[in-house]
Amino acid sequence: MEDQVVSVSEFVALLNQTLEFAYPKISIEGEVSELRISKNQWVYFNLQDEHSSVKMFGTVYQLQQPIEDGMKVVVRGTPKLHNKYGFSVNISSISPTGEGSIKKAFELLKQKLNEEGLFAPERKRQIPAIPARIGLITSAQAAAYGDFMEIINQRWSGVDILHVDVQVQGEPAPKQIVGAINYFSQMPNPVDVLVITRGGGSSEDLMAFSTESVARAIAGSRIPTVVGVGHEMDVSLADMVADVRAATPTNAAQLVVPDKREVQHNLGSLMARIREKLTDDLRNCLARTSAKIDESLSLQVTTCRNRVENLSQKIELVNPLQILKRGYSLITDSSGATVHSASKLTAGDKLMVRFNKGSADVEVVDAKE
Amino acid sequence: MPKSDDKTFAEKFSELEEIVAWFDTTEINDIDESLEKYERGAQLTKELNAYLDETENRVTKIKEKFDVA
Repeated sequence: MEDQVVSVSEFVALLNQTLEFAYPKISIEGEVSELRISKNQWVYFNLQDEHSSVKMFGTVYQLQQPIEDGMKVVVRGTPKLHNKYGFSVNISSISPTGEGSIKKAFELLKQKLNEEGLFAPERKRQIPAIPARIGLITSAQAAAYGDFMEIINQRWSGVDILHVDVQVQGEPAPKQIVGAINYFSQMPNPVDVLVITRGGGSSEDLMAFSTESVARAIAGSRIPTVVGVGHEMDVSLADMVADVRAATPTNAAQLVVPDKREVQHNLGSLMARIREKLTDDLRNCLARTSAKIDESLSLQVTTCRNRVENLSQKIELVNPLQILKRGYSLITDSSGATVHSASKLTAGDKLMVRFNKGSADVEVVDAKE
Repeated sequence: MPKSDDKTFAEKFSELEEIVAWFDTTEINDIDESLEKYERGAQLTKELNAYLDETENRVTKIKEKFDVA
């Protein structure tokens, strides 16, 4: 090899081939120093430990969380010899490592998102009281999935759950979670609410839920979100941007569907209320109608009584006995018929004369017309 | 949902609440209308209870993978 002379470009190409073969991808842990971001796009820094320092190069899109000098990180990337700028590691991803750096990165991103108003209470949307379809983003293998489903099945019936199985920790987690959120946002027939959840773990385990991409995807979700990550004490940025924050996966299930026993109890109370109101109203209606009938009947009786009185007065007026009282007499023949004319009378006919008081039998002496 | 109509549980529940509100705010004059509403309320309650008693939750696994760039 040492006898073979190569050009500089050939040397660079040869070295890159060797590096690519030996280290197609490598993860290096160290401390960030001389961080520089150029044109809001290119990221340069040195990754160092006590004895060595290596140049790193990447774009801002590969920063899941903000970094700063002194922060301990793991860089995943590819070693490369650039034909002009020399050796560097081309970054594919960076994650803060160790409690201190994770906390620092969390605080930096929290401040940035807060300044953008992503945690503002007025951004929070209400989730529907009774969802018909729920989108669920969690790992099928984790306890969180089992806990969530157990509570859903205890509390509610007939809900459709669309589950996207994602990794909830490790390097692929943020990309998978973001992809799943976008999938639900773009669904033609959207779900009513989106649940993003995982159980407890170390701060490194929960880190995916405090990355910028996941926080922004949740903030930008078309579907109202419920996020429950870790235990009660754990707060992730995903929790903070969510429309509803659940303490745990179990709590997420409690928040997302009502308890059917309560709902069935309510159904009973509502029906009892209607029944009572209907019975009262029917009773009142009956009472009103009955009062109207009474009133109408009493009016009719009075009218009848008046008419009877009126008629009896009229009848009294034409009573012949009333005429006799005035001194007239009524004459009847032997057959009892009233005598209206003298023409049919002959001497000797027996007649009866009726007075107001008493009567007399008489005989015709002579009849003249 | 049981029964022929396509209403969701939430839609039926909200229809029932409207019927209750109607009874709460209306002085009944038309007995036929209130009996009709009562019967609809009873039917909804029956359907909602049956739904909660008889229907299972369903889980659909989404096959798509999202870690491909």
